Amino acid sequence: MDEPERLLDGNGTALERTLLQELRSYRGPEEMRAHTLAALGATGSTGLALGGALAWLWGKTWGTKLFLTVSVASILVGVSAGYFILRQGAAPPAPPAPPTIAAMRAVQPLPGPVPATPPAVLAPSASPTPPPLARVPRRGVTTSKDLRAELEALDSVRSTLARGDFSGSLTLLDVYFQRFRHGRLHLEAEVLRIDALARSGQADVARSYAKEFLQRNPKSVHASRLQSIVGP
Amino acid sequence: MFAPGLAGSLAKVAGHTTTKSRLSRLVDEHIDFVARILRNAGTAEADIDDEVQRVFIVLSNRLDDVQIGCEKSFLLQTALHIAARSRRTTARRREVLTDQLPQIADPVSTPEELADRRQMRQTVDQILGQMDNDLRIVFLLYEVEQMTAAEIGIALKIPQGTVASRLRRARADFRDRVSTLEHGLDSQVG
Repeated sequence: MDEPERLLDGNGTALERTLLQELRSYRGPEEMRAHTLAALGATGSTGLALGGALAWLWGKTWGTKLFLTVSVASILVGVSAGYFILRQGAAPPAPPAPPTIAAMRAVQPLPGPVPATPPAVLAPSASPTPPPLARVPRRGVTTSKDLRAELEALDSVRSTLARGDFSGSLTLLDVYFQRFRHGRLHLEAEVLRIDALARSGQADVARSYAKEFLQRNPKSVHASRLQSIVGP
Repeated sequence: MFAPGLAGSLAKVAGHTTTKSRLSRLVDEHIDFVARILRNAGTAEADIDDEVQRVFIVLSNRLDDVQIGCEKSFLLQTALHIAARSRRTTARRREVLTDQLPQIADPVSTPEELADRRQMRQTVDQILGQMDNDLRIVFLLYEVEQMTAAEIGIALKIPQGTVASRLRRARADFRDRVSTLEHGLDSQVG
């Protein structure tokens, strides 16, 4: 088929070309890419996975393999966590340390919903009040560098979660909310926290937070995922 | 060389890593295209961020079924589907939540006003909004995305003859509407 010359290539009037140029020059919001990557969880943890695989290959006995894997994972998580802790300029709690509910509450800045059921897995001596979700403004003045740092921080959380270290991921989320008080990825971080709570056995707490999240963000792209936590 | 369980785990790790890097690359390559398709197909500016995420989440869920090299076509179809749903939702929201008429660009704006970006966007949105949806999509893919008729046919799963006829009608429709706008401007300036 002979294709007609495109209007933008000179076949159109000046106004036609201007209007088409307007359509062609559209770019989405600045933070769109970061939000999409955060929603997909598609950054960072590649290094962790590769490191773990190499450690398995390198080790000769099962004991060595296990030791090397744990070491590589610790180094990679430690380096990334240490990076954004140092960027804070203060002396925050060491991220890999197993947290207690009390310790987690101590670093939570703002109150959240209070479900009736006490947490089932973490420190039994802790109060029944669960760690509240951080409730800080979602949008703030941030640079693309900050956005990248936010993505890296959430990716560390995701990697920790993928390894099954639920309490570690909750601690990293606390650090995230402390560091990025006006971050752009708070919704994604809240979803990760709900995920971590659910997978750590605190189903009631997770359900309560998920309900509250869905009330605030009924049209969120994460809604269907959280709906499965809330249940029918 | 490895125990079967270990080989399986390594294969899983490698597969997971490959999937992630493929997704990352697809986001980098096509995110502007997806945003443009969504916006130009009638999605409200305020919804673009969320809808772009939705498109890529759909891709992520179906990535194993999407052949390498066919991702752009898949993203296009998903974006058009999501844009159609978004338009319906926005229309319903307007009907239910507000008794005010939607803001419509003044058809006889002065050239100075047209130079204003926002006004320009409203004007072109209004023109596209009045076009038949099937015609508009073919028109956008050809004139804005610079796709060939063959590519459009494959992406929309329609014969090339249909692409050609829709394109012909769409161009005539678009040019008529722009011409009407130009006459309005001329009469105002004159």
